This record gives sequence, structure tokens and C-alpha cells, in this order.
Amino acid sequence: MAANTETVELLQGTLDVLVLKAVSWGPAHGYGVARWLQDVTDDALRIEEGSLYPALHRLEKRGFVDASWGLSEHNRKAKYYRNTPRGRQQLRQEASSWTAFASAVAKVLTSTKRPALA
Amino acid sequence: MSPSQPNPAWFRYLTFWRHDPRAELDQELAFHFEARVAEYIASGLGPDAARALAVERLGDLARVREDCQRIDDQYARRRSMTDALGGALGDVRHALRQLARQRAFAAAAIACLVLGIGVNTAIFSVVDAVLFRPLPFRDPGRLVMVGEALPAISDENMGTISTPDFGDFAKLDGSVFASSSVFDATSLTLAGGGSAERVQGLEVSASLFHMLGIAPALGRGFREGDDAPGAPDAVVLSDAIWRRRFGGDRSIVGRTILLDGRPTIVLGVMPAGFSFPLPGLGLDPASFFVPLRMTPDVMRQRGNAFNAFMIARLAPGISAAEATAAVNTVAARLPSLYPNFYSPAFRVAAGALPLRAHLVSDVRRPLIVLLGAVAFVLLIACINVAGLLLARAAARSRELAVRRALGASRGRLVTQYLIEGAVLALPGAAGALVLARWCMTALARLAPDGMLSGYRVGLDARVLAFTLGVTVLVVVVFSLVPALSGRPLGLASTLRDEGRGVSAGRTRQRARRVLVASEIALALVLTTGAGLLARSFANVVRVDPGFAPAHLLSFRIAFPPYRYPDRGRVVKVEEALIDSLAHLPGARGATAAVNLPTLGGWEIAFSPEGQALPKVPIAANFVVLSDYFHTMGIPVVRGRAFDARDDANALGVAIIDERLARQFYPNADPIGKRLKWGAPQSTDPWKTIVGVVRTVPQRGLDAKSPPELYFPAHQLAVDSNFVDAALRELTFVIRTAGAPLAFTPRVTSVVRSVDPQLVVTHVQTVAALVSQSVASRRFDLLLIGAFAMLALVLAAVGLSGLVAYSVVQRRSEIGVRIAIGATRNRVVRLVLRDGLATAAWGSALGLVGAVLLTRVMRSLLFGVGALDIATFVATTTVLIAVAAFASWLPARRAARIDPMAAIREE
Repeated sequence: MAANTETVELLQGTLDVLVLKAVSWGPAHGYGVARWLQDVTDDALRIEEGSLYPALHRLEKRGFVDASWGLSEHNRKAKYYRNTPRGRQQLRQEASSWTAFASAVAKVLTSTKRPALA
Repeated sequence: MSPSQPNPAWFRYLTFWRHDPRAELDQELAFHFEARVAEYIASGLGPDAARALAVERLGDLARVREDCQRIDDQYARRRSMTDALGGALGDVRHALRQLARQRAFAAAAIACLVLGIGVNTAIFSVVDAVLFRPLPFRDPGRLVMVGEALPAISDENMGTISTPDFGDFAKLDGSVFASSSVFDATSLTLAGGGSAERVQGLEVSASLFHMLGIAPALGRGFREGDDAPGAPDAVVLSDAIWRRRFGGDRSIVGRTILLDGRPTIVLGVMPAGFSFPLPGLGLDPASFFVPLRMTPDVMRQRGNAFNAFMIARLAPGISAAEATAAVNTVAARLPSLYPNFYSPAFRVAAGALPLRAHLVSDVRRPLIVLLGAVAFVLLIACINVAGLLLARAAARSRELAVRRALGASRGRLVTQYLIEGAVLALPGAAGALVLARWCMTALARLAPDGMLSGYRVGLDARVLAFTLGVTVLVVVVFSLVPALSGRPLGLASTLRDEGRGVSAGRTRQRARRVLVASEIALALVLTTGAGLLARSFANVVRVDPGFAPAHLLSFRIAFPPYRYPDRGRVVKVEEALIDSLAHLPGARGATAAVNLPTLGGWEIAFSPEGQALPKVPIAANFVVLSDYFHTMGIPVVRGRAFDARDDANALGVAIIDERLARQFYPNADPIGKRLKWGAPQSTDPWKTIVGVVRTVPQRGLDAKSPPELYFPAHQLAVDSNFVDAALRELTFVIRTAGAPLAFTPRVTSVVRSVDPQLVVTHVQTVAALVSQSVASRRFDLLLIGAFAMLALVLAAVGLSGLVAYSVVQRRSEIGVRIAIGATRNRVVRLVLRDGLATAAWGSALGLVGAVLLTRVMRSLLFGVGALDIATFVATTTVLIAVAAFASWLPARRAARIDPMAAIREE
């Protein structure tokens, strides 16, 4: 893997939504989720991969993903996760609120207007 | 699988081959780790470096595992609850399917439950209303009944007081009592707006309704001053007479009606649910209430008549015992305060008894026995259901063995049994409520007059809670018996048993045998109880009434003061009426008396001349008019009956009964001896005994009655309201040639011809009056007898089912026996022996139970001991006969088994 020195810390609570997005393409195992996140972010998010698993189990518990055992590409037994209808709904909600949050923060940081009180 | 969907039924067995969740997590992480390592190696790293990098990339594995573990555990807990719920729903569906397939079984089980729970609910509703539920008054636990006792006669509290003494007891208001009231029975002629009628009511102190906490539904109740002598005449009507006589007219309040010829203003109408006095005091529910006034006439009765009832509300913090002490102190002072009324040598005592205890003292025991009997019926019904479930469990032992082998825990099977029980019990409980309603209506009709009037008997929250409680108990008990009976059988042994076709689970059959035996035991206890009551009843109706009740018609006529103001003339008018009645065609004689035999009534203290007795004796006091002994058919055994000689101017005479003669004149001829009313010091005139007559039971056929005294009405000094009132309302009796009731029209027309305003009431045959004295005994016998029959039938059904089942199980054995030459008779005997052995065990157990339990009925028995051998033998014989019949039905079927078919089935 190409080591990338410029990494950002993951904001608290965003991991769940990333995982939901990762499994929205179809059944994926934990390693698949990790690889996909790594690929689409160019490994900019330095995720401790172990922490994916509590997230996956938590989502399973909440009924946002389903899990079942299947065979991997290399014919190894692996646990596959898939979005449930509730999970997809949750993803839509989280994604829109995240976008709103991000654009609000961006507006603040890129503003050139001087505060009236200063 | 998705946790939001119910798990399929097979899911619960999955646990047994599903992997350990810990191992699964490790496997998941291992896959990740190996995939990463493989990727790094593919990108050119050495294996060791690749591993190191992958470990670094994974992070703190121990923490990851711990977190996942925690999350998974929470999830598993929640899922196991959903699983249990899904399982329960599955069990309900399973149970319903089972029942649909076994309709006969379901019908039998539900019928047993409906009967058992239904009659229990009905009886409980009655017992609850009379014994347990608070009386329908405000704070009824604080109400007491005050009664006086005259220790010179008897230490027993009479339960009543002499009306004037109320004034003395009422001085305790504000200290011992919060308030107190007195009331007394009265009857009045109600005229105007239709024909005149005679109605029963109460004279009450103005404080009564307020003390009971019951306000009139219309108008107002009495206020202080309404009961003052000289206040205007006023009446409060009961709801019943307001509806019946006044058509529920709300404008009645404030109007004036005619009571005993006096214009009386209607102050108010009591609410519909108010029936007073409650049963237990010997008074009819009142149709009206008028103020009780302490007039000089009333005050003169002090110490003479004890016929008023006093109810008081205890002051806060005062107990009934403290109140008893206080009223006793007041009573003890009465003789010195009123020496003209109480001889100073006469001690007066008093006591205060909680109202409920006083009212139910006579019915408590019978009601408790009834409740016990009906509980036995329920027990038997439950055992029948348990037996049915056991039989079914045996038939399903293969299914159960397989399920246990698949890992269903004992707990799960118990749950399943409970659910199956509930599926049976719920329709059972629903049916039971319908039956209970029906039974309550029947009970209200059957109950002796007034036993339940004023009590709120019905299906309410308490009764429903009772039914629900019983149902839950039943479900738990009879569901668990089959589940827990028998050792847990191994799969192998059960399947082997099934394969061989011999009795699957002999333990179950043994458990069922024990159940049926106990059922028979319970039925025997009940039957024995019913047998003892039946013998008692037979003994009671065989009691010699001392007179000839057949062909006697009785009725009451009142001669109110407004029509007959002259006290002295009342008896003369009555004699004239008797004369007219006696001359009716078909009449064999006519008479009248203040009270009739077997109905209780007037009792007096008396003193035989020249005898020093430790206590002043009491006697039943019969004040009679012409031709009494002849008309009633009471034989005169010595001396003579009263006749025309014994008029008001002649020497005072008396007639005594044989018992009084034996008791007080054992060695002498009583004729010519003298006695008088009251204590030896009393100033009453001496009466000479002129005759001795056969004893009649005054308090009822089955009650211990005092000896009897008879006096001619003509010679009674009308010196008090009490005597005047007694003589003004007589019971007339006419001996008829034909059916007594057919005489009624002739009687009414004769009475009308004498005075059209006279009202004939209480028209009844004397035979019916006598049988009224055993009404509550008949009621108890009827109910206990019905329960015993029910118990017998249920036990027979249980036994029949048991034997039939064992015949099915021994089918091939019986087939072989027939094939090798056993005769049909022999087969019948074989099966009969099976059933009778169980019945014999049950009977033995039942006899022990009966010996222990029938003693609680001792006070209900008459002329028969609680351990009456004849009854025990008879009921056991009946039971064994029923058991033989119950076993014979399946035995006959067994004898018809086709041996070839039975053996081929193997």
C-alpha cells in the first residue's frame, strides 16, 4: 500500500455512515469495507480497521445491516454485510445532514465578511 | 435473518448447532487479517513485514473483540426475547390446531371448566356479597348493633332493646358513639289512589339515614325534630313502593297521602339500591319509613317489650368492646333510674356487636359450607381436565420425546403446556361467566325469602377478579400436572414403547389413576355431606308439628286504630269475624291468634306460683281467640280448651304444653296451678292452668323452642301500645273441607262485608308457612345436593375416561386373551376390576376426608350425627355403583374387541 502521510482524523460518529455507504453497493465483508474506504479516499482517512467491526456489529444490532456467512472470492468463509431497507433510509438521512453540516462549516471557513461586533 | 421479522419455529433449535458467537468473531477478524496480509505480500512485502503492518493497521484487537462481544451480547438478549414471544405465538397456534383436531377432547375439557368455574363464580358472588363485601352503607365497619340482656332470664344478648332505653344509650353520642339510631317494625294501611293495602315499614329515629350515610334519591330524609312528639306526620317511601304504588311519580314529594287514615306528608323517596333492614334481623325490607316518636305510650313500654333495634356508629378510636363496656354501664343503672319499670332486683345488661357479625350469624356457616362444596366441584372439574390432558400427553409422548431430543428444554415444554391450558381455560372462563349469570338469577329465585335482599349480588369487578384468579390457578395446576408427572422419559425408551405398542408411559397412566382416585374421594366427601343434609331434612320434615297443618288457610287482617279507636272493642270485632268465617260453607272451623306455630314470635318471661327458680323461665306466648285448639288440630291432653266461659270478667286462665307440664310440674297435676307473666315480683295477675296441650315447635320444626303458654285474647290487659298493636293485627286460620287456597275469594268477601276498608294480607296455606320454616335448610340441601350430583357425574366421567383409555392401550392384550379363549364375561370382569380398584382407593380416601370434613357441618345437621354410619355406607354404596356403571361402559366395548383385528394391528 502506498503510505500517505497526509491523513485526517475521523470525526466522531461518522464511521457508521461511511460503513452504511460502503455496504450499500451490495453484500460486503469487513475487509471489503475497509478496502473500499481506503480506495475512494486515497487512504486519506486513517481508519483503524479494527474499529470497523464494532461499527458493523452495532449496525447489525440496530437492524441497519443484515449479516450472513458466505464464501469469499478465494473460496474462504467470510461474513457478508448488506443494507436493510431501514439501513438505506438511515443512510439517506445521515448523508443529507452530513452534507448540510459540511457546507455550513465550509461557508464559515471561507467567509470574508468581518463580524459586526469586532 | 432479520431481527425485525418473527423467527420461524425451527429457529429455536438452531442454537444447538450454531457456532459459538466468540468463535465467529475470531473467524471474521482472521479473514480480514489474512486478506490484508495476502494483499501486502502481493504488493511485494516479506511475510513478516506484511503481518506486522496488518497488525498495526487493525489496531487494538483486544478492545475490538471486547466491544463486539458487548454489542453481540446485548443483541442476543434482545433476540432471545423476540424468540420466546415468537415461540409462545407458535405454541398458541399449535394448541389451537390440536384442539381443532380433537373436538371431543376440547368440548369435554371446556364443559368441565364451564361447570366448575361457573357455579363457583355464582356461589362466590353470593358469599362475597353477604359475608365479605362491606355492607352497603357508609363506613359500615364502624356500625354496631346494641342489644340488651336480662340476666335474670338469660345471659344471651337479645339483639334488641326496649325502645325507651334508647334515650339512655343515646346519651353516649359524642363520646362512645358518633351517632345512634333506633328502629322498630310497624305496618300501616295505605289508602287512596287505588284499593287500600297493608304495608310493612319501619319507625325510625330521624338520624338513621344520615348515620347510614344514605341520602334519599328524591326530596329529603328526616331532620332532627321530625321525630319529636307532636311533629307533623311524615313519611319517606322506599323506591319499590314508590314505583309500584305511585307509578314513580316524582311530584309525590311534598304531597299528602293517607297512612292509617292520617294525612301524612311525603318527605322523600329512598334510592333504588337501598333495602333496609338487611336480612338477618327477621324483618321484611321496609316499604316506608316514619319517625319513631317517644310518646308517653311508648315510654310506658320500658322494660316490658324488647322489640326495637338500635344501630350506632362508633366514635373515632372507640372499639366495639369499649362500646360494649359503655352500654353495659348505662344498662346497669336502668333499674335504679326507672324503678317503676325495672324491679331493682332485675339486672339489665347490654352489648354492642359489629353489625355485619350480627346480621350474618345465622348464614355464615351454611354459606362457608356451600363455598367449600362448590370448590370441591371445581377441583373435580379441574382434575377431569388434567386427566384429559394427561391422556393426550400420553398419546403425544412420541412428539414430546422427539422435541426433547431436539433440545427443547423442560421449561419450554412446561410453557407449551401452560399455553395449551390457557387456550382451553379462556373459552372455559368465558362460558363460566355466562353460566354464572344464569346461576345467580336462579339462586336469587331459590333463596329463602329475603336472604339476599339488600345485598348487591352480581357480576362486578370483584367477582370477575375471582373468576380470573380461579382460571389462572386452574391453568397453572392442571397444565403442570401432566408436564411434571412421570419421569422424563428418554427418547429411546419412548420410541421403543411406541414401537412395541404397549402402554406408552405407564407413569402417566399411574398419575391419571391417582387423579381419578382423588376425584372419587372428593365426590364421596360431597355426596356424604349431601347425604347428611338430606337425612337431616327428612328428620326435620318428620318432626311432629303438634297440630294438623293440612287444609288450613291463614291470612292476616289488621284492625287499625283509625277505624277501631276503642281498644276494648277490637277483640269483639275479631270474634264476630271468626264467627262469620266459621259459618262459611265448607269451613270446618275458624280461629285467630297473635302468632302461629313454627314462625317464632312473642316470647315472655313467666313465674309459676310457689317455685323458687334460679332463672326466670321464658315461654312462647300464644294469645289465641275462639276455637283455636280445635281449628288448628292441637290435641288437648289434659283438662279443657278455652271456651266461652273465659271472658274478660272471668278468672284469668292459661293452657300449657306438655313440655312445660313435665318441666315445672313433674310430679303433680298442673291443672289448677297458677302462674303469671314476668318475674316473681311482677304485679301481673295470676292465671290458673285449665288444660295441657300437645307441644308445637314454636321457633320452627328444627329449632330448640321454649315451652308454650296459651292465653285467651279476651283476658289480655290492653295496657300498652305493644299489646294493643299485637291484638290489632292477628293471623286468622280457617280449616277447610277442600283445597285451602280455593277459599280465598269467599274469605275476602266475608271480610269486606264486615268492613270494606279491612285488608286481607299474607294469604297462605299453613302447610306453606310451616315449610317456610325449613326454607333455608331446603335451599342448602338443594344446592349441596346439586353439587354432589355434579361431582358424582364428573367423577364418573373421569373414571370412565380412564378405564376406556386403558382398554385402548391394552387392546392387543385383550385381543390375545379373547383369542386364547377368555369369555366376554371374563373380559368385562377384567376391565371392571380395573375401574373398581381405582374407585375403591378413591372411596377409602374419601371416607377419611368425609370423617374429617363433615364435622364442619355439624351445626347444619338435625337428628343425625356428623359420623352417621348409615349415611356413610349409603353414599359409599352409591359411589361404588356409579363407578361400576362408569367402568362397565368401556368394559362392554372391550368385550367386543375383534381379537384378529387387535392382534394384527401389532
